Amino acid sequence: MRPRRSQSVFLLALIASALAPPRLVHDGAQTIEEDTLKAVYTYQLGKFTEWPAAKLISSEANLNFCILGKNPFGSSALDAIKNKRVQGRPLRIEIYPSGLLPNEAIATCHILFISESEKSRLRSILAQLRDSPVLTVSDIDNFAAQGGMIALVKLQEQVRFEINSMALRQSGLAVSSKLLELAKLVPDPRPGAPR
Amino acid sequence: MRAFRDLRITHKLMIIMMLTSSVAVLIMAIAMVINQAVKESRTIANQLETLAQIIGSRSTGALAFDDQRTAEENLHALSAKSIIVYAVIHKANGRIFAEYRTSKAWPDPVSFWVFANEIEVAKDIVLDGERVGRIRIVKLVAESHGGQVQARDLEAKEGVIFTVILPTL
Repeated sequence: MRPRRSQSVFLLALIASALAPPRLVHDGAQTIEEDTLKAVYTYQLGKFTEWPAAKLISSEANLNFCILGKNPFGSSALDAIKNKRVQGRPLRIEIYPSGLLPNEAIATCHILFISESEKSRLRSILAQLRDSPVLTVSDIDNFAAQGGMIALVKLQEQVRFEINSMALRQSGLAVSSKLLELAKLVPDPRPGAPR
Repeated sequence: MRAFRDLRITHKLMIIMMLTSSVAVLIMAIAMVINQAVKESRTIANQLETLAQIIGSRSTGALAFDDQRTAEENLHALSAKSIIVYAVIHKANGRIFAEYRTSKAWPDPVSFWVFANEIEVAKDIVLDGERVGRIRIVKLVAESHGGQVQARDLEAKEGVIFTVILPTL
């Protein structure tokens, strides 16, 4: 028996909606693609972060937004943050392949977005970055609870934050109270980390 | 007019001098009250601007990360000032992001001769050199106390001035 036309249309719509990138509510009723929202939020986190003076001097005039692992941001997400400025510095996007971050990148990256593809290596990546003034951000589950600094968490069709303030402090970074009041604070689980 | 014509010249002069000085004192009093009202409005506007600046600055995070609830909480802090009747934060695109309206009874407009019954200030909210929104606060010049609308300090000042003037007339 051949499927009826209405059944085919419904099936096609179902497949299309499954393949479409997830969208989140933003700016009231407007929706935006999840990766774009995460890219914009990650770049905006830089506006609420204070890096040690030495870190800002060592990396010339740019503010480096680094992505480690499989790039989760589509072209429209990257376009949304292209040509933006953070604390008066032009934002530069750098993408690093899976694995540990090269040492020179640790010195130049200000914000590091750790992709979901690095989930299995997360512990070693965070151990490598320990005490380095690099703002680590990710949407990996329990990222902040595993020692990352800021986790992007999907909550009721919106993106919210979990912040590990101890990890931030140990790296010499400070985030604004305006950001802290929007976030859920999580304790640092690493052995020896002060509470 | 005939009674005035029949008066002696000394009395006529005395009346003219009294009238002239009374008019002069009255004009001076009116000028003082107007000046006071303008000063008062400016002071209130300056205070409101400072308040708008503080709340706007506190709300930059909420605007940047689309957290409406926090922005509303920030605006709700205005409830401590009973005379603030309305406040709103707009996003950079003009859309209303968060609003506050006093839950207290909004006093009826006062037919007081101050230039405006309410004062409104608006300020841009800037984050890292970029305009991310705008805050607007509306405050009544008159304050409601126990259901009675009273014009505030200004009325008292006006009373003092006229108490001083009337015995001189």
